[in-house]
Order: sequence, then structure tokens, then C-alpha cells
Amino acid sequence: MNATLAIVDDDAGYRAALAWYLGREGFVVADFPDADSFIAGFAPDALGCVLLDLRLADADGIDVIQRARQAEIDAPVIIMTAFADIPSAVRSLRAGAYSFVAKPAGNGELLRVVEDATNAHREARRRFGPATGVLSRYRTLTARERDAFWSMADGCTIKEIARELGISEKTAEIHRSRVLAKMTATSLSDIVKSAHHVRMACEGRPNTDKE
Amino acid sequence: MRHPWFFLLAFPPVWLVLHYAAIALDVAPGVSLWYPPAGLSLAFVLIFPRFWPVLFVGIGYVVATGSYVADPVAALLSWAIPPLGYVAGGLLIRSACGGVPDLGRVADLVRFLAGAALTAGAVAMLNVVNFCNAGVIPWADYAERVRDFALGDLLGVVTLTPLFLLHASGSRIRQRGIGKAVASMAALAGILLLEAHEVTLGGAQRALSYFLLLPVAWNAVALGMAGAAISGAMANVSIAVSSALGAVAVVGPGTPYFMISLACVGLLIGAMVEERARALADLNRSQAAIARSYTRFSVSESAGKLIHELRHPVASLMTYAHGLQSGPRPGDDVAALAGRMVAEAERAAEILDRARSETEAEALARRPLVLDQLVAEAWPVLHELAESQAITLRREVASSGIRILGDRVALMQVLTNLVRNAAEALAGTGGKGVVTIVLDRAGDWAVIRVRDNGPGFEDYVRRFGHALYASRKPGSDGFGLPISRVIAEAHGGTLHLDNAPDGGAIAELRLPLRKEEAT
Repeated sequence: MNATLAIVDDDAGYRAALAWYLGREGFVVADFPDADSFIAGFAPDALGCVLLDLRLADADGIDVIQRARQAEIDAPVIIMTAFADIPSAVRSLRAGAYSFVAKPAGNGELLRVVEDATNAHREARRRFGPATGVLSRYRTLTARERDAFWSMADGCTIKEIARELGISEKTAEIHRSRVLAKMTATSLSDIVKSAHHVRMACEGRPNTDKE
Repeated sequence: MRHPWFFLLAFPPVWLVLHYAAIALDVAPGVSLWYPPAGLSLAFVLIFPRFWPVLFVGIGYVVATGSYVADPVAALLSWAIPPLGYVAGGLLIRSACGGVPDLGRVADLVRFLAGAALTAGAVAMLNVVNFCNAGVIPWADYAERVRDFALGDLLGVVTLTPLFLLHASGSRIRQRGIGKAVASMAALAGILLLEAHEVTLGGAQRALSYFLLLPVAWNAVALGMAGAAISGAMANVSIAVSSALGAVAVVGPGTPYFMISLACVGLLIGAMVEERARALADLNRSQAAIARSYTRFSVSESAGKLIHELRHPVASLMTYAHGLQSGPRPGDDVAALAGRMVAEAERAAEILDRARSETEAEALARRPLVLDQLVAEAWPVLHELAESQAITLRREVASSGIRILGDRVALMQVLTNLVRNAAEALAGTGGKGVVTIVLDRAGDWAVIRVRDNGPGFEDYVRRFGHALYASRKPGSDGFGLPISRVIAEAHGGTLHLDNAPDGGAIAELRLPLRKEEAT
């Protein structure tokens, strides 16, 4: 199966050049002139990665990563920037970018980064499954259920959940089954996978647990 | 003038010396050939208008000590009329020229000569009325005396005043080669020799004087206004001296006319040469300025913006080029890819062009200009260009008084480039070539169209706006059109090249009209 590559850049000429080159290297390329069309038009379940220009005309590239995650796009994002400065590199990596390339980047470097990111995505998919539907399901949880969800993700037993939330074991049991039902999870490992995607989108308890 | 006091103190005695010298050189009783003090007076008023009362000192002394008018009122008038007239004339010329006349400009020279003639005529008329009234001169002689006085004064002015005004014209003519310097000196020496010869011959016949036109004209051509003023003065002084010293002291009836013409011809040639030299110097300066601004943007602030804008086309080009480096793969449409690469390269070129125009826009000085005047100022140079290729140059003003904001020198450069281009295209058409400059208006645009009846632009030139690689014209560098385009764009205008239906080339320069509210 060919990996999909999204190119988000406001420069049509450069987009076309990248699309040609990476398309030739075996990627299915979808290119977008701005963040809105990328988020609206990119299939969230596609396997591959995203090449994102940090200086998009309509949005700060770092916000775009957040919005993509909210839209359940879990593909790794590679930031391209003409301004190869340390602060923007740090900012973009902290915001969840997979990697960072200066623009213009050499073809070899670009291909290597894109392939790395695609492999990372493949590995993440193998471990955590696709993000599709996870966030929308998580958003149906009540505040109490979300607390239970994160305790479950941390591997807590019913006893521990009850103690942590200050509720009875009976109530904890009800929360647990509600969370499993709402998240359409059959096991605790499904909850752990979902937690990964929610964390990436910085919902619930962001930054409590760095992998 | 930093030390006017010296001139103030020196003026009366020098004036008196010239006065008595003129009297001493009287060629007939009571009739002096010329009157140099008039020239000194006019020069003084032109240079030091604030100190005009000094003009009354010298003549006051002459009137007080002389005894040729008995009547006190007439004496008072004979004291007052000439200086008053010269003060008025001097101020008139100053206001017409906007200050000390710059004799290196033909326009100022003509104003100066006209003002001088007017002054000399008016002063003579009033002065002689006074003398006739006092009974010193019979009324019957009125017209003849007025003519003599006026001619004498004017002769003094055209001979002496230009010498004093030389500093104001700031001659641009530098000595060009030893040969010319020697020839100029020889010409000056020739003037003296001819006149010395006249004196020794002592003939009433001044035929040899007519030869003086030659060295005067030569020096005006070779040395500009300085040459004209100095050699004209030398020629006239030597004619006057030889007339007085000759064995038969007679002035030929045409001599004053000849002397005035001699001086004026020299001055006119000098002014024209001077003006052309200045226009060329201006053009050279602007060419150097444009060359400088080509390199300047690399260190200017806009470099950062430029680098940023160039990043995309360069990155795209690199992507294509690297991708194709190991040869095309199956499925690569090489022609389409080459097309994309050309498009990216053109994009980069456009960015560079725009940056260049922007940089030059900053380098140019914008001033209110009127197109007719611009063309008139460039005309001597344009004419010269056309003449050098035996081309007829015409000017059509479809709309006059068109006002723009622009850099005078840079736009003159554009005109020169376009005319040179046309003239070179028409070279070898055996004098049938005609280049027409049309001044017109189209909507919000001022239009300068340079049209010729030659073979027209080659397709290549029309498309790319330059002949850098296509030029087959000998002696042409091919930079004229691109430089003109850059200047046009720096003014917010365009330069469009086209061919007329009948085949001639048309270069159309459009510049934004100056908004009236911007005045």
C-alpha cells in the first residue's frame, strides 16, 4: 500500500515541484494551498505524513498541527520553514511536530525525513491504531468519566480508581463500563491506545505523561 | 562672493580708469568707439545687486569734475540717468534669469543679450534727450547720437560683462588635449598679431579684422564660455586700440556692428558648446548612478525580502533539477518538467527585476517636470545622436504642457537610449531615416513615443525587451532598452516595444501623469 503525503504550502510552484518529486518516489500526494483546505480535505485515516509550511498565510503552522489533531489526523507533521531559527524549531517540536526541515531542503534530505515520518506513523498505527473516531467518542464522556478514562489509561484497578476519584468501588465500576461502552473499547488496551490519540490532541490531561 | 568689500572699493577707480581710457581712445572728437564702463556697471549690478548705489560714485566724480554740461539740472540728470538705467537693466536680467545669468545656458545668454540691448538703448535715448535739451548736442543729431551711445554701451557690455560672469557659469569645459590648448593659444596670439599688423599698416581699411571671427569661434568651440568671453574681449580691445593708435584714426562705419556681432557669435557658440558639455556630463553622471544602483541592492535592506521571495522558485528549481539529475524515469514527462522549470526560473527573474526597479525607485529623485521642457533640454544631445547617423529627428507635440513627477536626468537618459536605438537601426538608410518623438497623453498616462521608419524591432527584442543576445548592431551594447525599462518602471511607468503596421519600430514610454493635487 502506498503511503499518502500531504503537502501544505501557499506557494503553488513549490507545491507542484514537491508533488512531482515525492510522487515519483512512490507517495500518493495530496497538496493543499492553506490550512483550511488541508484539514477539510485530508483523509484522517491515511497512512503517511504531512509536510507543512510554518509560514502559511492564513494560520500559524503550529496552530495547524493542533487543529489537525483535533480533526483526528494523526499523521506525523514535518515543519518546513524558510526561517531556520532555533525558536521556531523548538516551538514546532513542542507543538508535536515530528521533525523540522529548512526550506529549501535538498531532495535527499526531504525524502529521508518523509520516509522516517511515514515509518513512524506506521509504527504508531500498529501500536495505537488510527485516531479516527477516538476524539469524537472521547468528547461524549462526562468530566467524571474522563477522570476514570485517564485512570484506566494509567492502568489503575477498580480499587485505585475509586480511591483516586473518591467514589465507591460500585460507582467506579459503573464509570468504567460506561467509558468502555462510549469508547467502543473491548479491553483496557483499547483505552490505552485511545489515550495516546487524545493526548496528542492535547485534550483531557495534556503533558501529564510524556512518552 | 565672500569678499564683496574688495570689489565695492575697487569698482569706482576701475570704472574711472575704463572711462578715461574710452575717452582717450576717442576715434573722433566727442565720439568714442565704445564704452567699456557700461559693461563693468552691468556686471557689478548683476553680481552685487544690493550694492547698486556704488554705481553712482564714478560717474558722479566725472560729472562733478567735468564741465561739459553747464545747466545744473541737466548735470544732475546726466549723473543719474546712466547708473539708474543699468541698475534697472541689471535687476531685469536677474529676474528673467532667476539670479546671476548662467551664460553657459543658451536661454540665459539670450535673456542677458536682450536685456543688455534694451538697457543700452533706453539709457542712450534718455541721456541724449537730456544732452539735447541742455544744448550740448543739437537736436538734429539726436538719432545719430542715440545710435552711437547705444552701440558703444552694448559693445562695452558684450565685451566685458561675460568675463565677470564666468565664475557664475562654472565652465564644464576642461582642456581636452595638448593639441587644442596649443591651438587655442595660437589663436589668441593670432588675434594680437593681426591687430598689431593693422596698427603698423595704419590703413583706414580694417579688412584684416574680419579674420578675427575665426580664432574667436575656434576658442568658443574648444574652451566653451571661457574661451568665448576671453577671446571676444581680446579681439574687441585690440580692434579698439588699433583703431585709436593707427596712423589714420578712423572707425569704419560698420566696425561697432562687427565688434558686437563678433562678441555675440563667440558667446552663442560658447553657450551652446557649454550646454552640450553639461548635458553629456549629466548623462554620464546618471549612467554611473544607475550602474551603482544595480549593485547597491545587494547590501540594502531589501536584500532580506529578496532572499525570502527567491526561496520558493529556487527551491522548486532545485527539486526538479536534483530529481532529474540521475536521468528521467519512466513516466517523467521531460518536456512538461522543463516547462515548469522555465516557469520557476522566470519567476525568479521577475522577483529580481522587481527588486531592481524598487531599488532604483529609491535612487531616483522625483521632481515636477514638463515633458516639452524635458525634450527641449535633451534636444541638443538627441539631435547630435541623430546627426551622427545622418537621421532626421522630428518632434510632434500632440498634447503640450504634460506634467509628470520624475528624475530629469534619468528620463533624459531614456530618451537618449530610445533615440540612439532608433538612429542605429536606421543607420545606413542613406539619409532617409526619420525618428519622430511624439508627446501625447492617454488617460492617466503621459506618453512619449519614439517612432522610426526603419525595419522595426526583431521579434526577439520585442518579446524580451533587450537585444543582449540578439544584437547584431555594431557598437551597441544592448543595455539601452533594459536600462530604459528599469527607469520607466522605477517611475511607475512602462516601456512598450512594438512595430507599426507599416513596419517601423515604436517604443512607447508611459509615465503616470502628475496629479494636480500633488502640486
